[in-house]
Amino acid sequence: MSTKQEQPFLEAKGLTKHFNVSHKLFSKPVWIHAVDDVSFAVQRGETLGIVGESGSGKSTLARLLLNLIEPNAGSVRFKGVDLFSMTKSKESTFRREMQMVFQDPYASLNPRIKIGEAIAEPIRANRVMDGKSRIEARVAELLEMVGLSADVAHSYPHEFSGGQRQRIGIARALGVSPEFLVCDEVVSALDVSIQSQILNLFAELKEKLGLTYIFISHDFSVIRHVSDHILVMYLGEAVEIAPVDELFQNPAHPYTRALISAIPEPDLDVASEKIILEGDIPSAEAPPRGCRFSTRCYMAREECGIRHAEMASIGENHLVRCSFALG
Amino acid sequence: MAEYIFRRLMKSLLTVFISIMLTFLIIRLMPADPVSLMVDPKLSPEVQEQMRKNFGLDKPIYTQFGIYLLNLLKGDLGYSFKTREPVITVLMQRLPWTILLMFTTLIMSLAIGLPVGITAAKRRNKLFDRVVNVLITLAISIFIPFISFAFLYLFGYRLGLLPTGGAYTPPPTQGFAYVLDVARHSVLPTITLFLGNSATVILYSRNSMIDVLKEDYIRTAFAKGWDDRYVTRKHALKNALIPTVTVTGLMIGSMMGGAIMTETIYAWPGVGRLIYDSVNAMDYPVLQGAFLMLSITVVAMNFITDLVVAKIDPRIRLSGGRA
Amino acid sequence: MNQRSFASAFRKNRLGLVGLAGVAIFLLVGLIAPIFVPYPKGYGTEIMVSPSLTHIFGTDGLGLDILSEIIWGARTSIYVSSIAVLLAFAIGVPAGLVSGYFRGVPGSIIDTLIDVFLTLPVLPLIIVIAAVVGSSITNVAVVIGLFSWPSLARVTRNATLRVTEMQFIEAARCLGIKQRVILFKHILIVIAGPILVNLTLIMATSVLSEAGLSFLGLGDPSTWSWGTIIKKAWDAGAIIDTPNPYWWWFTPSISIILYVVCFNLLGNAINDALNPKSRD
Repeated sequence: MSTKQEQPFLEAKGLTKHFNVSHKLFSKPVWIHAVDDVSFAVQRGETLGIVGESGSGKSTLARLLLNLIEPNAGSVRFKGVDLFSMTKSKESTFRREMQMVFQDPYASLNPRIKIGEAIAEPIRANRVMDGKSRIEARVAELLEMVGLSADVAHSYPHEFSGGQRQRIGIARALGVSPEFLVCDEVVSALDVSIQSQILNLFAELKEKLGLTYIFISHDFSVIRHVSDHILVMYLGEAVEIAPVDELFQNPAHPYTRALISAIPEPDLDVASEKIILEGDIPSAEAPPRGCRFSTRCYMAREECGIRHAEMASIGENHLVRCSFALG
Repeated sequence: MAEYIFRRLMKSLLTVFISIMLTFLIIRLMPADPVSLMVDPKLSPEVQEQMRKNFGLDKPIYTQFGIYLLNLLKGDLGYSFKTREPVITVLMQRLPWTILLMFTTLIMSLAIGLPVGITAAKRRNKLFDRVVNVLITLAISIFIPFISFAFLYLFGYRLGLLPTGGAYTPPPTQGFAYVLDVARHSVLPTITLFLGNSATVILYSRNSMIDVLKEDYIRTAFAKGWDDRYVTRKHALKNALIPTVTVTGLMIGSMMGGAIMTETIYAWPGVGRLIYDSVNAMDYPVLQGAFLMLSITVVAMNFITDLVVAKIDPRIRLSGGRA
Repeated sequence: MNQRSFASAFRKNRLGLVGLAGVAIFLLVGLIAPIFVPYPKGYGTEIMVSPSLTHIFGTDGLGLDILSEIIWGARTSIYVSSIAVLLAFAIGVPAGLVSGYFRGVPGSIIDTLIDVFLTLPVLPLIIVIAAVVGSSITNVAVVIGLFSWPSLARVTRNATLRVTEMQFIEAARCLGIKQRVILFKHILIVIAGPILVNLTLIMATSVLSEAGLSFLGLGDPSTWSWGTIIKKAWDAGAIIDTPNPYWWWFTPSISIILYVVCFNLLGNAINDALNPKSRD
C-alpha cells in the first residue's frame, strides 16, 4: 500500500450489514450478521482480493460497495466522496464509474433479451452516448474487446457457453466506461480450462483500460494469482488483511493458515501439513461469542470463547484479528 | 400455533371489513341516486324522509359509514323493499338452507375428491389418471345451469325419480319423514354443486400427492420395504391433505357463485335463491345484506378450514410458522 | 425457453391444438359471422321447432332461429371476455409486479388485498353491483373484469418473486437501469408465460360469469348472449314442462362449455409447453 497522505481510490470504514430474515408482520426479527465492521482501502490501479468460505459475507460486502443494498453502519468513500450520502444525480455518475461482474454467467443475463440489447441498454440508460448507430458501434467494439465477434449481438444468451456469457457480462459492465470493477466469484462457475482465459482477459483489460479491481472468490489460488492485497473474511468479519507476498510469507491468523495450507500447490513457502478445519461455518444468525473462529480453531484456548479481538497491526499494512497471532 | 390462528383471525376480520366497505360503497359510488337504492320509493314521503335521516344521508360520507357500521353491529341491515321485513330476518330464514347445501357439498367433495385424487396420483399416467384428468378439465368448464337442466330433464322430467324444486314437499311434515323428504330434495342440488366444485379438490389432492410421493422420506420408506398401503396412509396422506384442505377453504368463495345458480334452478330456499328473487324485484337492501351474509359465511368457513390445517400441519402446530 | 422449442413442444400437444382450433373458430364465428347472419329479432312463424335442415338448432319460443342467436352470442362472449381480460391485465399485472418486486409494506398490503379478494364470494358481489349499475353488456363486462384481477395478480406476484431473486435483475439494477424499466421490461418478458396462461383462464371464466349473470336476469335484454338464450328457455319452462324443447337450452349450454373447454385446453397446453418438466 502506498503512503498515508495519498487519498485511497476506494475506502470502506466499519461497514456493517445485518439482514432481518423474518418477513412476518407480527413476529420478532431474526438477524443475520452478514457483514460486521469491515474496513479496508484500495489504491487506484490495484487489485484487492477478498477471500472466504461461502457464507462469510463476501458477496454482501460487494453489494454494499456498489450501493445495491444499504449498510446498517459504516461508510464507503469512492474518490473521496461518501457513497451513502450522495444525491440522486451524483449517484448516476457514480453508476458509470463503478460496476460489477456477477458470479453466475447463466443467471446474470436475462434469457429473453438479446446480447446486443443487453449491452446497449445500460449505455442508453446512463446516457453514456446517444444515437442508435453510435451505440451499435460501441456494442460491437465492446464485444470485440472481450474477445467475441460483433455479430453475436443478435443472439440470445442460451446460445452461448458459460465462458462466453461471462465475456458478455464483462462487455456489458464495461459499456458504461467504469474505472472500478467488483468481480464477484467471476470464475467459480466456469470450467478450470476456461477460468484462466477469463482471468487473463481481466488482466488484459486492467492493463488496457487502467481499471481498479476488487476480486472476490472462495478460491485462494485464484485470489493469489490476481491480487495485490488480500482481505480474508470469516463469518462476516475481516480476520486478516495484508499485501499478497506478506500474507503468504507470514500468515498470522489460524484461519488464513488453514486456507493457505489447503491450496493444492507444492511450492508453498509455509512448510506445513494440510490444516483441516473441522465442522461447518457456524450460522450467521447466532455467531459464536468471543472470537467467531474459536469453534473451529485448532489453536483455540479457553479465553477465545470470551474475548472478541479487534483488528491489530502486526507489520506494515498487515492487520490481523486474533489474540494470539501477535506472539 | 397461537400466532398462526391470530394472524388468520385478523385476516378474516379484515376480509369481513372489506366486504362491509364494498357494500357501503356500492350504493354510494354508483351513478344512481343512493336514496332510491336504500329507501323504498313506494313508501310515503314522510316515512322516506324519516329513513333518510336514520341513514344519515344528509351527512358526510364518513359519518354515514359510522352510522352504517353501528347499524350493522345492531344487526340492522335495513328493510326489504318487497316484504317490508327487516333484511336480517329474511336472511336468517334462508341462511341455514344455504349452509346445509354448502356443507353437504364440501363433505362430499372431500370424501369423494380426496380418494379419487390420491388414486390418480398413485396410478400416474395410467388409464384411471388420464380419465380423471379429462373429467377435471370438463368439470372446471362446467356451466351450472346446464348440468342442473340436464339432471332436471333426466331425473325430473324423463324418469320422474326425484323432485324438481324446493327443499321439502309443502306442507312440511314432522320428524324422520321430514328429514327424508329434505334429503330427497337435496340430492340434485348437492350433486350439481359437487360436480362443479370437486374438480379443484381432485386436482389439488392429486398434484400434492404426486409431490409428496417424490419426496425423499417416502422413497426411503419404500426402500425400507414397508408395506405400500401403510406408507401411503401414514406419511403421504397427511402431507397431501394439507394443501387440499387449504384450497378447499379458498374454494368456498367461488362455490357461492355456483350455489346461487343451483339454488335458483332447484328453487332451494337459501340465500342464493333469495338473491335471484331480489334481483328481479330490485330489492337492493336484501341484495346487499345477502352479499354481506355470504361473505361472512365464506370467511367463517374459511377460518374453520384454517383451524383444521393448523391441527394437521405439524409445522404450524409446533411453531409460529406459516403453511 | 426460447420461441422455437416452445412452438415445437406446443405442436406435440394434441389437446392444445384442439383448443387452439376451437378458440380460432369461436373468434372467427364471433367476428365475421354476424355479417352474414341476420340479427334475430321480432317474431318468427315457426315456434319451438325441433332441429331440422332449415333450423339446424331449432327455434325458440318466439320462433327465432337458435343458431343465429348462438352466433350473435359468440360475439357477446368474445366482447365480454376481451374487456374482462384487458381490465384484469391492467390491474392484476402491475399489482402483482409491484407486490412481488417491492417486498415490505407495499408488497404485503397488495398481497393481503389479493388474498381478501380471492376469499370473497366474487360472483354475489358482481351480481349486487350489476343489479345496481343496471344491465348493459359493457357494464357487465367491466364489473367482471374489475373482479378478475386477483388470480392474475397472484400468479404475477409469485412469478415476480421468483424472478426478482435472479441475478440478472440485480445486474440490471447495478447497471443503472430504472426500476420502471426493470419491472415492465426485464421482469415482464420473463414471466409472460404464466401470465398468458392465466389470461386464457380469465377468457374462460369471464364467459361463465357473464352467462351466469345473464341467466339470473342481469344480462342485457337487448343483446343476444348464450346466458340470455338459456334464461329465456328457463323462463318459458322449457326444461321440465311439456312440450319440452330441450334444444332451446342444450345448444347454448354446449356452446358455453365448448368455449370454456377450448380456452382451458389452450391454457393447459401453453403451460405444459412452458414447463416441459411438469409432464413427467
